[in-house]
Amino acid sequence: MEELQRITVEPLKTWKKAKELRQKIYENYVKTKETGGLRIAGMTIHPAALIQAFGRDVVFLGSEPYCAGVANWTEFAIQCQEACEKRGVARDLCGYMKNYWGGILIDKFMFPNHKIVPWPKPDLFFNDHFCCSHGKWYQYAAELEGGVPHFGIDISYRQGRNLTEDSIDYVVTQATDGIEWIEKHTGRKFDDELFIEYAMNEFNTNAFWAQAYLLNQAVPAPMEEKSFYSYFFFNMTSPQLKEVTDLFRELRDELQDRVNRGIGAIGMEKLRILTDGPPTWAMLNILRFAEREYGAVIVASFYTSHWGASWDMDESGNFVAPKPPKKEDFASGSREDRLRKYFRWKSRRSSSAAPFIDNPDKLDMTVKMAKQWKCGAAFLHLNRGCEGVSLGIMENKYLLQRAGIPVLTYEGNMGDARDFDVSGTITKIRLFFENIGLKKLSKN
Amino acid sequence: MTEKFQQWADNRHDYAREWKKKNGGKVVGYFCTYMPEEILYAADLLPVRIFGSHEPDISIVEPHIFGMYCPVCRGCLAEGLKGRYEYLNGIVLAQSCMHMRQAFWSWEMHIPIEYSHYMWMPHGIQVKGRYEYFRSELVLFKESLEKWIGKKISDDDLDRGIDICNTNCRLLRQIYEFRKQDNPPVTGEEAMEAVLSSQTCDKKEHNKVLKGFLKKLPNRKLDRDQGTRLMIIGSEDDDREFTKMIEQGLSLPATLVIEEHCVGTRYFWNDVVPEKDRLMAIGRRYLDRIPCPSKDWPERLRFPHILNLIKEYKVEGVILMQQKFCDPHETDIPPLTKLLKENGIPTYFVELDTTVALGQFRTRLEAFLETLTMELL
Amino acid sequence: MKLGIDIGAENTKVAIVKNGDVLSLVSVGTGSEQYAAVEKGIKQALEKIDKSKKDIKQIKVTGVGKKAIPDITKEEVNEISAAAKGALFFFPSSRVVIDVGAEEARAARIDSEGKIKDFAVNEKCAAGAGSFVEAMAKALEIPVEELSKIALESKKKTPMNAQCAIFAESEVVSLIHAGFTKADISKAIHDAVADRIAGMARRAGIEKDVVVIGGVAKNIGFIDALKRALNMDILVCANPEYVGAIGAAISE
Repeated sequence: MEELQRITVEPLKTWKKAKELRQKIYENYVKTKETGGLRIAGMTIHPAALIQAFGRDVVFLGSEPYCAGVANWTEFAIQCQEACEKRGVARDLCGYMKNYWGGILIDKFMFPNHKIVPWPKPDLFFNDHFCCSHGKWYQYAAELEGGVPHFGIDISYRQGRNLTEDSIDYVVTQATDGIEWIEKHTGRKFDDELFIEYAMNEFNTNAFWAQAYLLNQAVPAPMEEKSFYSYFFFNMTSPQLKEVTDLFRELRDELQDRVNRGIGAIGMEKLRILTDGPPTWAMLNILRFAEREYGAVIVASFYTSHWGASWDMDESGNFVAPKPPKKEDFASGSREDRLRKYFRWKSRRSSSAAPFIDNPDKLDMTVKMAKQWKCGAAFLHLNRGCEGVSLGIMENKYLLQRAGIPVLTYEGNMGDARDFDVSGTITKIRLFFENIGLKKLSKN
Repeated sequence: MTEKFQQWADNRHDYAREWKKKNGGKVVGYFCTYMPEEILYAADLLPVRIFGSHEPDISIVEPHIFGMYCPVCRGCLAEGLKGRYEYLNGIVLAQSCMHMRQAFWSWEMHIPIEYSHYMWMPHGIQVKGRYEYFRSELVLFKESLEKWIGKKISDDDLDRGIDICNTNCRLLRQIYEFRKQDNPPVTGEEAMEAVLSSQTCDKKEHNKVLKGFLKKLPNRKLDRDQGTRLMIIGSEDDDREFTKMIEQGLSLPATLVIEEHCVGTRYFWNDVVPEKDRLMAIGRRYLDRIPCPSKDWPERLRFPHILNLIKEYKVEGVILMQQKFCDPHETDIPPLTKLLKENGIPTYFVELDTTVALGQFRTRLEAFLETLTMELL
Repeated sequence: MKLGIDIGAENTKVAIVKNGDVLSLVSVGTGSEQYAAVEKGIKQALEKIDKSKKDIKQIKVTGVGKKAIPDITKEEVNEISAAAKGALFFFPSSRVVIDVGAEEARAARIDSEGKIKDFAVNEKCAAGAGSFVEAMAKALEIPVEELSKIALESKKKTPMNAQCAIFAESEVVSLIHAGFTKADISKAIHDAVADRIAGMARRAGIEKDVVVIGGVAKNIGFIDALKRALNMDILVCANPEYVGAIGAAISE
């Protein structure tokens, strides 16, 4: 019997608010057109403040979190996937894409509470080309929708540790072109004051998120990864909204309070685990299995910490929260000046494009993260549904092992439950834990 | 007459080793045809495209590349890990699809190499600002090469590099003109070997052989039945066995009269148009070429080009060759199939792997040809 | 005396070990009744050496069905540990253990004490398991033992589809019709399986000595192919299908 100290756990106070806000964002996305608003869809790592600067009634829904929600509801997801496959879409194509195109084909859109409405056609697609297929995603979606104007920003430029002024020139030129394009297609004007307001929200959202995440370095960790996935939705789709900034500030405060009082994510923290990439959304219970039976908790993930977020690193190479600029400093100068500052913020090292654009650096950062968050093991999901997040994953395993961190890999699919063997994965998790000497928790 | 291309394609490693001995120069391997070879030639380096060997035993890449990545990138890395490319002095990648990036980064990590360079070539080949940005990348690349080789690359050097590559492209296009004819004097297999050898040996030598071949083409008659005029559309395709099977191994005759992939027309269909700013001129060539599916967004530039090729080369049937797990190409397949159907062009889809099950494909392609011949009758 | 049970998908193996000697080995078909298979196996193993249950000091179980017999023993040994312990029992120099069963294949990199440094399992792929070889033998209409022998007669490299067992099966049919010899096709089949297994093993990491256990280790065609795929010698003990049961028996 383990002589371990039991940790007090408590439900998260901010979760109710988060759920309500998420539902509201979905509803706004569907309903905004009834009141003359704009509906824009695109990839989640997007220039949120730029898009929002066209009006408070512009609602953007990031496709990836929507598709993750679809994946979580297996019966609905299969309808979407089969609709695509009937059209000749390859089975091994991005799991999210099929969930999205499928929704268009069957004319069904789901809410997080599983309410179904007819598919809401966006007015525009405005996406950052993030992986090899993002531009292609919306290209085909536009055709399936019967024609939706589509603008893509290429974010494959040098960034992070390699950032140059030419990179900033490139993205700002595109962004300026994008602004003119939206103006042309909507008849609306870009509002510089709104841009400042929403950009400041975005910076603060990023800062609060990083501060919250840093609190998970505490032992015991105040929050586990499954909960981080839920809050992370807002990074992906609406970091520019004030409600999100406020929510993340509250989350940070709540986690700080939990750290002060020694409140943990789970009752027995025996092993701290690092992970990366989207999980098998259809079966998140494998995480609960690890927590419940072994006291093994995922406390850190490069994916939830960094995607749609922004971080700094100090001289020792530790991750620290970024410092948002003062409003007056950001607002100064011309529109171009502000766009340069905005995209410089979004192109910093440890930004979200790192996995795709500078993979070797991303692998190093993952190892750093494992050490900084005091992880004793790593789970790497070999994601058949996303080749982007699988970029470098086997080398990631190699580097983590070289750093003395045991790694379990298991195949799955973030978007398509048919590619995931739950019982096989649970067996692998058991074998892995036993092999690294982690015994099951006693029933007491 | 085409034995030289075949020999070069068969013996690319020996060729590169001989070249090094003869010229005392350095060889640089590249992974994707977005790499501006003009600059490498300007630096007196030999650019060689890295290819897999189509051997089935590539388990050596399993610890490095996730199983869902295409056979092309796995084949390339396998060759490197097996030591087949020990003669390379450097590797370079012009940013392209994630799979090739993985092959490059794993190579850089595990295989000792004197020089390596990752070029952030834009994916936004239709976006504003792309020329200026790519030019800045080419400047960085040129400076990096100069540092490595220990000498400056002048405008004259760049002109020389541009001329070598432009000549090669022009000659290949001239040869391809002959494939428009009825009973073309060049088979698809020969064309593939000509392009493949261009990508793996010194274009200065290659240009000489191309010129010689071109001279003989007007009088060249092949003792074969043209059969059905076919086109291959793909991402990457260097499978000579498969190509040979189509043209020689089926019970009904067929000829591959044109292709749209990067060991084919996509490689040489446009030139560098000279301008005072040489790097800008080179950049324009690569940004303006018919794009790889991974860069073909938001408007489709590939599809109108494909329809044009079909018309000019009097294509009667299209084989869509999909490299297993290639997402960008897979996203194009359904709309492309639809477009071809709407234009009355029969298509057949095959999926490629490291090795190709020739027996099965033979049966399927013969059935496809039978339906085509019946329709044409 | 220590008794080890390995409940596999196809066969249940029982081993009795005492003071470093293997006294009795029995294999019975698992079928759908794991409990009955284990009882039968234990009975036969004891009868072989004229002993009874009271002579047994400890009983440990491993394999996919290890949770099925709590009334007989609750002392479970995970499959990879059992394989490691069993391999070291026969070959103290074992550092990679590859276990190829009917339905599943695993590889583990271990240290001299059997501690697992890394492991890999074949992921949803039939082309790396014993049942695939059996299916191919059926397609060629020869017994598995003969299939494995004739593979060694071929010196050709007949490539088969690298990634999928389903395609490989229909490809065998095409190769037959194309006039390839059974020896060449058999070698191609074994090369394909060995390549899958080698790939999986490489994910766990390769170090000398590599030991193969499980029923497929008796397939000489496969072992020859795996040697070539890994470019190193492979160690196989007599009765390799019992190594898991022996490893369970001797586990602390």
